[in-house]
Amino acid sequence: MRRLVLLAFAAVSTVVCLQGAASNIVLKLAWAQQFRHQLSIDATVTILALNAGKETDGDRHGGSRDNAVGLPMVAEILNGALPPEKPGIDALTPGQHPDKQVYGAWRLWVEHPPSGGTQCQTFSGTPPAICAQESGPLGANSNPLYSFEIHPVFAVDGVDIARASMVLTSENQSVKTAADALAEYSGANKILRVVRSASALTLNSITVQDNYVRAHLRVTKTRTTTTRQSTGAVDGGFVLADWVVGDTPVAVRVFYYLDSEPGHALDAASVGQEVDLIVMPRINLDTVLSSTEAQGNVSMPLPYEFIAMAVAH
Amino acid sequence: MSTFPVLDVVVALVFLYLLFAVTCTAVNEAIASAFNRRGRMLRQAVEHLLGDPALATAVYRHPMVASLGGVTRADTPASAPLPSYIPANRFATALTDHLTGLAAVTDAAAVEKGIAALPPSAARQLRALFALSQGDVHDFHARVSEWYDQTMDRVSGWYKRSVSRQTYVMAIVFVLVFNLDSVQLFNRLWSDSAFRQAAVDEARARIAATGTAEVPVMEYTGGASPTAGTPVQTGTVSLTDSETRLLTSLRGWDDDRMRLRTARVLEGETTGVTFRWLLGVAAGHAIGWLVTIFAISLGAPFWFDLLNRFMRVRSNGRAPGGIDDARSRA
Repeated sequence: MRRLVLLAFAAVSTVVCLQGAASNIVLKLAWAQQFRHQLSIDATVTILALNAGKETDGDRHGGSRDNAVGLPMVAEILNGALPPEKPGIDALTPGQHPDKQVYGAWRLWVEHPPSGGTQCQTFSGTPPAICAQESGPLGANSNPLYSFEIHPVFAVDGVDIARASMVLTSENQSVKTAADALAEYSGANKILRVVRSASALTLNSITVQDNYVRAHLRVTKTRTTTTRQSTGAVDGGFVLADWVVGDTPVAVRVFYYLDSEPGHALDAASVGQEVDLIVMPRINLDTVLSSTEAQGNVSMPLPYEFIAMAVAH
Repeated sequence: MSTFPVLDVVVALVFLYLLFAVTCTAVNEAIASAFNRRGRMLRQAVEHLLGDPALATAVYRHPMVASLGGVTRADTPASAPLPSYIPANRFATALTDHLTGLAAVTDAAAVEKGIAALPPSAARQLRALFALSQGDVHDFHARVSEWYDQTMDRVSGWYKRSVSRQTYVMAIVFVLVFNLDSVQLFNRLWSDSAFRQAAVDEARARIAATGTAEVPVMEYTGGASPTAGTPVQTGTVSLTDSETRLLTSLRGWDDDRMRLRTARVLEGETTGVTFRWLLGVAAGHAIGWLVTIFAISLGAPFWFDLLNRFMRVRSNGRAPGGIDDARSRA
């Protein structure tokens, strides 16, 4: 009988260890609260690698780990196999000064997480073993396992590269239709599980794709301004809008960078006005925080909001 | 009670390993903290990096570094608390500032002069970095930061290996002092349903209080600042009072002491009796002890993760009161 027990132990151990799992992102609660209503972040990003051109996904981004973010991350200046924009490339090229002052939109999106792993914001000290599955970016890898981006990048070392970083057209192969994107974001398995403690949030989700989306938006609430953390200056804002997908309106927040074409359109938009944009999703930290404030630990359909990237002409 | 007592035995055993590992880790950390092992190791690494203890002392006494250890005076005594972590940027600035002396920290000529004044062992590496930066102080600063970071990666490796060694030593001490024999534990869990149920209940309580390993509950050290601190997993730190009571209910050496007393009554209080008893104890417990030592060395996060997985199987994929229930409400 005891042999049977040991065999059962081994069998159950094998089964439970082989179970697949979504990945976790651990955020410091105070950090999430600081950025829940903000468009941008300033970070000293050590560019460990900048991809040389058209790689597997055609992205142009530098891999790093930053002291203001505390997560493996990339600063991304272009996505989708477009021709490189020289100002952006020049600005992010590590050269002799890999530490770059990067200013851009923060973006948490579970596109390249470590499968079944956990990445924890770590600002000092040694994180616990559970946070160890990071696989870089500690070497020459510009596309490491990560869930945090600065994307688009507005400026590097004070050099404005917003236009180089926000060049997008509807012809870009990465821009999805609204119907496809909604299906991706709203799938039955796209559930965000959140555990909240006194000082941390753990977000658990499976991978979600579809970076760029063509969106027909109807403004339902005009702008709320956002401020750049390092200067306190207004750098953009967000509007509330219905994302009209077929006959379905989906309520979303749409963030914009003021000094950009979509920014100009949204900053002056009135209630009821309709605009066609190319947008990019990110996890809506405000919904995450509000839900956990009300209910404690929750599971919810993936909450997302948009960053306006371009006007869809 | 589960309909699968076999699973309960497994859950209880995994839970006990978790408690052993948590206890061992707590003692380890207390010792490391009391002796500031990380700070001392960092100090040794910085001395090794700079090639000159005096230069290392100068960097440590720089206010930007000294303040990390809680001391801000320029005349920092040798016994001052050593910081356990120095950011690369801060280290490079402190070193560059020391090299430039009273001149501006961006003065390239002063940096060069400062390097030239160092002993050969320290000057050689810094002179190479300065030459590579072609007189650009910002570049020199960046190169020093990178050089320091590379060393710190190795220090982290040394520290982990050091902690690992200490964990083994602590595990051996624990196992021998409290007679933590896995075979004996297994037998008791198999035959003592009350003890088994108590362990399973405690395991369930811990899971309920700390979420699941799939979505771990974390906390941060480092105060309220949004960009400071280290994450820790709540399920892998400290014991509750009821868990401590459960551990104290382990029989430890009781049965063996009883056997020794019996042997002494029957055969007399001779050295031979005690020696035979010791041999019997060693032979009887050796395998169980080794298994427990190995189990403790795997660490609390491993056992916490495994416990969660077994509890999920045990509760048919639904943690009572956990986030699966919350999901159904959402």
